[in-house]
Amino acid sequence: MKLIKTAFASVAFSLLATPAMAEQPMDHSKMDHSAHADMVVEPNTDADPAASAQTVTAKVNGLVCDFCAQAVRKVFKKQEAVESVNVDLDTGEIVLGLKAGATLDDETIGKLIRKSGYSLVSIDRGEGA
Amino acid sequence: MSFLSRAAPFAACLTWAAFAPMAEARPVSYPGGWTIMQVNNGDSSSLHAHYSPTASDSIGFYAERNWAEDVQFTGLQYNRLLKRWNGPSSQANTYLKLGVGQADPFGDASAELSGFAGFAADWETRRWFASYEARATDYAGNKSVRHSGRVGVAPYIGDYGDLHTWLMLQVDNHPEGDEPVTTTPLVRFFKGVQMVELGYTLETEELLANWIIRF
Repeated sequence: MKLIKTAFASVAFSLLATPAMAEQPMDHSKMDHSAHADMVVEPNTDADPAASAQTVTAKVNGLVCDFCAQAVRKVFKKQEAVESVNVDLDTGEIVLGLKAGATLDDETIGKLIRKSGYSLVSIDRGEGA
Repeated sequence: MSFLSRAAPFAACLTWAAFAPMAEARPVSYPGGWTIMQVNNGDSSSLHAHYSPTASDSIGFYAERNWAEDVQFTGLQYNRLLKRWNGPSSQANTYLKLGVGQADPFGDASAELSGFAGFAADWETRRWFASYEARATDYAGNKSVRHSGRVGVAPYIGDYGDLHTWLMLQVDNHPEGDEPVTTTPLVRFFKGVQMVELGYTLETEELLANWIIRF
């Protein structure tokens, strides 16, 4: 009986939670968007960082899972100066693409990374700095 | 029973839990993040929806229907990240979990002020996982303590946004239970903002099914 209750509760919740799947990150470079043009998705790659006016690469400790990557993306995406946020779990790096004419100083980057719950190791500014 | 007379053993349980050996999934999100967690096993089914105002705190609704103790708990849960260690390729955390609310025993008994306290710790790399949680509950005067530990390994390492898979083994200790020690092999699927766990408890032949969604 408990098994049935457990299975029922899980299935019921799954149905209720299905809309939240619309937010799951995807690698759009490998996908055909024509079939789900109405979906709201949040890809890791918002835009080509090289196309941004300036890129900043932050080396961060503690990035071990997708929840971690999502945390830093959410926090940095709220910044007016930030055009794109790309997280590389392999290297533990966050690549920020800044908008034309925008700046984001090291102190602010460090503060935002700590606010996300992680630790800043170093900051490397691209050629456009 | 007065609140004070109930609070004393509750505080003792909290003290014990805080000093117990090392837990479970992260109950705190990023600032402004919402999380829905649902846990189902043979003993209980619970739902926890919380909001994180900071990366160190979360507060939200918690409801549990517990068939092992014949009680329904509904209340508020506060989670606090006590300490985080961020390494180049690892992360470790300790958490405090506190809940207060109303427990309604099955049957004719009236609802009572109830609560729980828990201490949790975890360590994770992209390949390995270990956690421990101690949880003391007082549901309508029925006090109990549980320990839960996990180890896990990821058979492959995926990039952000990929489907991540973990193979895990959970061991639970519930001294008051019919089966004081149970083992549950489970598989965890993790993709983007969603995590699903499916397992089977060997001793009780019951299903484990957990969900976490973060947004």
